[in-house]
Formats: sequence, C-alpha cells, structure tokens
Amino acid sequence: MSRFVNKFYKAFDTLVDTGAQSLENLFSRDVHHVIITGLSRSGKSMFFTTLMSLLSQRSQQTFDNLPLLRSLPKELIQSVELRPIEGEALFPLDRNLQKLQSRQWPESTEQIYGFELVLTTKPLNAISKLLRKSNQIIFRFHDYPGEWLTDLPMLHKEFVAWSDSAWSQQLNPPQKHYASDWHAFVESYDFDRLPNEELVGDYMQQYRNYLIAAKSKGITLLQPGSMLIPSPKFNWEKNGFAPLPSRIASDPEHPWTLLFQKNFEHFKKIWLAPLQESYFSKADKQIVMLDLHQGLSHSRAHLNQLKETLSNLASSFVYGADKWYKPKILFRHEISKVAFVATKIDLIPNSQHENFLHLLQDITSGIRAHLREKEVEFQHFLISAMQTTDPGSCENCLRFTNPDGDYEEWEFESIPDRLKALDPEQNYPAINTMVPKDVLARMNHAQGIDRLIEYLIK
Amino acid sequence: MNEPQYQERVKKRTLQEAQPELSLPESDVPLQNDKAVIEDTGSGIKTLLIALFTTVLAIIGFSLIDAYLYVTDLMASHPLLASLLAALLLAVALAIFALIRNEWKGLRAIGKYSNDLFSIEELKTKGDVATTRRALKHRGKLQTGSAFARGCYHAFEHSLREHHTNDEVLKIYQDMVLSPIERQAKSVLKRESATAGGISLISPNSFIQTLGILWISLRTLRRISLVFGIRPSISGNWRLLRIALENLAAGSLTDLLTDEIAAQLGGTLGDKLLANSVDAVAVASLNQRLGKALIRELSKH
Repeated sequence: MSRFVNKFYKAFDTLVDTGAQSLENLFSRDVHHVIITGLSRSGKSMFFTTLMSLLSQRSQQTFDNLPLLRSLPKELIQSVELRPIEGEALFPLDRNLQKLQSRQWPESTEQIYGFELVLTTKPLNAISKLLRKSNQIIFRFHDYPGEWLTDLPMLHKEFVAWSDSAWSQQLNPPQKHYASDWHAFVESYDFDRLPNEELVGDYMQQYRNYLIAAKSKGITLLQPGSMLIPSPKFNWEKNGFAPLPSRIASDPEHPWTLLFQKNFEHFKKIWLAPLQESYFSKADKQIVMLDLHQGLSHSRAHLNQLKETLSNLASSFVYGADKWYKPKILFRHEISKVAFVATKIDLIPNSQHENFLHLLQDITSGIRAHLREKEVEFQHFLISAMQTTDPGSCENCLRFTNPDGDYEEWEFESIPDRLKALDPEQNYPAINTMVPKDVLARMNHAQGIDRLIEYLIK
Repeated sequence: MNEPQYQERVKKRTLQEAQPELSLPESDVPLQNDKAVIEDTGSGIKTLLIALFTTVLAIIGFSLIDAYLYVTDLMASHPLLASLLAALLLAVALAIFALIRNEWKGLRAIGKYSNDLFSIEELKTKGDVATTRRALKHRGKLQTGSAFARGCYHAFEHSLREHHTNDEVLKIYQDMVLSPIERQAKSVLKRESATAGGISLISPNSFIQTLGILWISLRTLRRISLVFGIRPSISGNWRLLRIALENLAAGSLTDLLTDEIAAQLGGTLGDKLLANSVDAVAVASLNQRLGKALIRELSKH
C-alpha cells in the first residue's frame, strides 16, 4: 500500500513539476526557434561565433557593439549563456575563437551542432522584481553542413525524376563546364554489366569527383550534397546512388535503375526525412544566408543557379502567417518571418552596398513569391561577422591582407543591382582575406547583426 | 573542365604597407549650419513675466513685513527673545541668499545651449550621415561639462560604425545619449522635488519658505543642467523664468492660503503640520513642473 502511495506521490510530483515548467516556459520564456538556411560557405559558423562573442562582451563594454538591438538594450541583459540541446553536440565557440586568435578561419562544419543561446533579462517593473521573475529570451539554433541542405528537395521526388533533373542541370551552364569528365565516363560506361559493389562504388566515385570539382567552382545546386560530407547515419558505399542517363533511368526494369531507385528511397527514409523532421521543421523564424560573392566571382549563370537553388528550397520548409496560438496551443511550428541575409558584406565597398542589397532582392524574388502567398513576413539584410577590410583610396576601393600576408587594394567597378545588369562574360573576383591581427576589435565592428536579431525578436 | 574565361571587373594592386589597426573616425570639421530662428517671446509674455515678478516681490515683501511686524510686536513684551528671533531670521535669510548666490553662479558656469544647432528632427529629415555625425559631435563638445553626458557620448561614438545610416545613427543617439541623460535628469528631479517638499514642510514662515523655494528651484535647474552639461539658451531661460515665477507665486499663495485655513481651524500644532504638509505636496509638484520644463527644454533640440 505504502509503495503504491509513494508511486502515486512521485507521479503526482513529476506531473506538478512538468506543469510548472510548462507554465514557466509559456509565460516567462520567449523561445525563438530560428532555422539558419545557409549553403556551404555562406558564413553560418562565423555568424554564430560573432553573435555569441558580441552578446557576451556587450555588457562588459562601455560602448554598445550591437547598438541597433533596441529591443534588448545592454542594460537589460543580466546574463548570456550557451546551452546544449539534449542529444546534440554543443557549438564549438571556444575552439572557433581560439582558431581566430591564432589567425585561422574556423573549419567548415561537418556535423550537426544544436544549441540554445539564452539571454536572461532583468525584471522590468516592481511587481516582476517582487516575484523575482526574470524573463529569458532563447534562440534555438542548429549549425550543420550546408551541403546537406540542398538535398531536402529530393524528399519530394522519385529517383527517375531526380536523376533526369540532375542530368538536365549538368547539361546547362554553369554545371556543364565542370561535368565534361563525368559525362565522358557515363557515355562510355557499359550499363549491361550487372551492378555489384565494385561497379557501383566506381560509378559513384566518378560522380563524386564531379561534385567536388563543381563545388570548388562555386556551384551550389549539388545533389546529393550528403555525398560530399557523408552522414554517419547513411552508408554510401552500401546504399549509394548517382544519376543515370535517361536511356537507362527510363527503363524501370533495368538492374541499375532498380538498384538506385531502392537506394534512393532508403536514403530518403533513413537520412533525409529524419533530418528534415529533426532540424528543419520546428522553426518559427528563418534566416536564409547567402554568399553572393561566390556567384559574383564566377558568373551570372552561377548566380542564376543560386536563385534556382533557393526557389527549390522553399518547398522544404513549412511557412505560415504568424498566429500566437499556433506554437502555444496547436504545438504547430510554421515559419512566419524570414530574413534574407547576404553575408561577408565587408568584402564590398560601402558605396556599393545599395546595389548589393538590390542584387540580393533580385536573387530572392522566386522564393519571395512563395512567401507572399503564405503571408510570411520577410526582409533583406547585409551582414558581416567581422570587418576584415579597410576603406581604400577611392570610394569603390577596399584594402585587405591576403592569405600570403600582403596588403592589397582592390578597386571595384559598380556592382550590378540585378542579375540582368551583370554581363555574362564578366565577374567580380571574391576577396580572400587573412584573419586580421586585431580580430576581436574587428569582430566588434561586425555589420548588421544587431539589425538582424532586432528584426527576429521584434 | 572547359570553363569560359571571364573578364574581371576589379583592379588590383599590392600596397607597400601593413594593415592598420582599427580606429574610430575622428573628424573635427566645423559646422556650417544655418542659424535656427530664435523663438519670439513676444511682448505679451514680457508683460506676464513683469506681472509674475512683481507678484513674487509683493509676496516676499509682505512676508518680510509680516515677519518684521511679528518681531517688533514681540520686542515690546519679550525684547531678548525678539532680538534672538530677529537675528535668527536674518541669519537664515543670509544663509539662503548665500545658497541662492552659489546656485546662480553654478548655473551660470555651465555652458549655454547654442541656438545655431540643427534639431534632431532637422537632422532626421534633412541631414545625411556625415552632417549628422558632425552635428552630434559638436553637441557632444558642448555637453562636455557633464561627466554623465561625456560618458554617454563616449559610448555613443564608440558604438557608431561606418555602415550605419542617418536614421540608425539618430536612433543610436537617442538610445545611448538622449534617453540615458533624460532618465538621469528625471531621477535628479525626483530627489530635488522631495527636498523641495521637505523645505516647505519645515519652513516656519512664508518668507523663509519663499526663499527656500527660490533656492531649491535654482538648485534643481543647476543639477539638471549639470546632467545635460548645458543650460538653456536665452529663449529657454525666458520660458523657465516664467515657470519659476509662477511656481514661486503659486507656492507662496498656497502657503498663505493653508496658513489661513490652519488659523481658521484653530491654529494648533496639528493644524499647522497639516497645512505645511499640503504646502510640501504643492511645492514638490511645482518643483517637478519646473524640472520637467527644463528637461523638455534641453531634450527637445
């Protein structure tokens, strides 16, 4: 009897605790589930590193390094804390900062990091003080390899449709410039041989070589990107696949088609669906991070392709108008606010920022049409996680230290304000800088992060 | 790979120098702003001021004569006590005059607001970033008399970045300079008003209360001006003088009225205390009014 009473008491206690925690979460915590949608090299990791450093340093400085974060004045912040999300690796903030201080850029992300940025604010009024109530503003972030993001649209496709679309992309610029070796390999390939582990491995390796070459040349639409940075949850050697030429893929009974179709479905089930469910479907806000420099440094075709990649991604997220009851009562997460962010703006002279912003707006025009239909709020931002450059001798000039340690000055011609204004035969090389000596000071000169966070929490 | 060759739209050159450490922009270009129109105070206001001034003089005069008559009356029956009281009254009056003189000198020592500055609204609508930053820097120099304002300006200057737009610079200025100064000034005013109420509560007669109000009014003006680092311009002074005189008149009239009511009620110590409490609340409120007017005056530009 006493065991039963104890059990009942414990269960009751747990229930009360859970209820109290839920009420606490509901009323005194403001949780922002922010999904950062950034392709590879878009600057996600540097953004996190700088954001956390600036917030941590903010209260200790006489000046304000995030002066436009008006909803969270520095006097109001009691503490800033980085908390792990259960079951996820914590973002390597200290490691990244150490790397920067030893004048190396942080390594690109090759696994998923989940973390909460918890800002505890001081009580605002006497009643709150009396109740010792302190509000918490929580940003829930995930950092992940950008390569995995481009795979999400594959969830809505069958193998043959995906293979055909991948093939048609490779036949058009800019991909076709880097796919010649792969195409030559496929053309001479004998598909009459039955697929075995060795043959499939060789076929996939050739495709992977193409993906690696294309990635190094600024191609963003690379599927499956997970082939470049494999997940521990999916075995490419055993269950791999790659696009097949139409003449093979169109035959549903062909052994190669049958095998790749089976592996493709397995890939969706084992890897893509859980990936989307765990990290990309529980968000109410989205930051779409874009590195336009990569596209500009190659060609207009690259930028057009970036635009296409972005439009394709729209179908992978759940968008909807902002209604307070959706997350609190219906427990439904829909993205109601989107920030389109062009990163590394310090690599463009101030005089060209306006054109750069218009170019960003042009690139997001496809996805924006989708957002308007869903009544989703959006805005465009230019940010840089660090000021690595200095003004030059003219208004379109910038100075920077290159990776060899030489101090250079580049003079830019006018940046096009839309894709059509960029001559298909011309490009703007991207500045590649060494990590500056005064890295912390330059981090404090980050641009636009305060505007962005202010927009998200307002 | 058969990637096409693209024409680069960038000119590159290597420099024979090392990358400099970051430093904040320090420009010292003198402002060439158009002179703001000094507000016309008008002859009607002058007449009103004269009326208020004479009213206050009359109240002080009557209070003084009232005190004098009280002492002379007392002299007939208790010459020693009357002499002591007269000496005490004189000493209190002299001490308060000295305090008033000090406050006045202190207030005059604070730099005066310059009317040739652009207002924040003008900077918002007409200014570009460079003009705004120069104008705000100039304001900062004017307000160096206040350690608090100096600190605010220092933080503001160090928070500004080259990419901030005109609107953003003004928002940051509002958040980091105007709002904290205003908050600080309001907190000073709160303390001063409490002091004003206290003086009214303990003042034994109308004469001392009037002098006390005059002193605390000047002290409030000086302390608030010290937070801003500037005192009002001529036009602002006229407005404040009017309010100060109105306050003096209202304070003294309240005192006379409450004294009369206390006398009608029986004139016991309790009645006197009640009357003084009413006075204290009235004087504290009037002091708040003066302080708020000064804060408005110094914040609105």
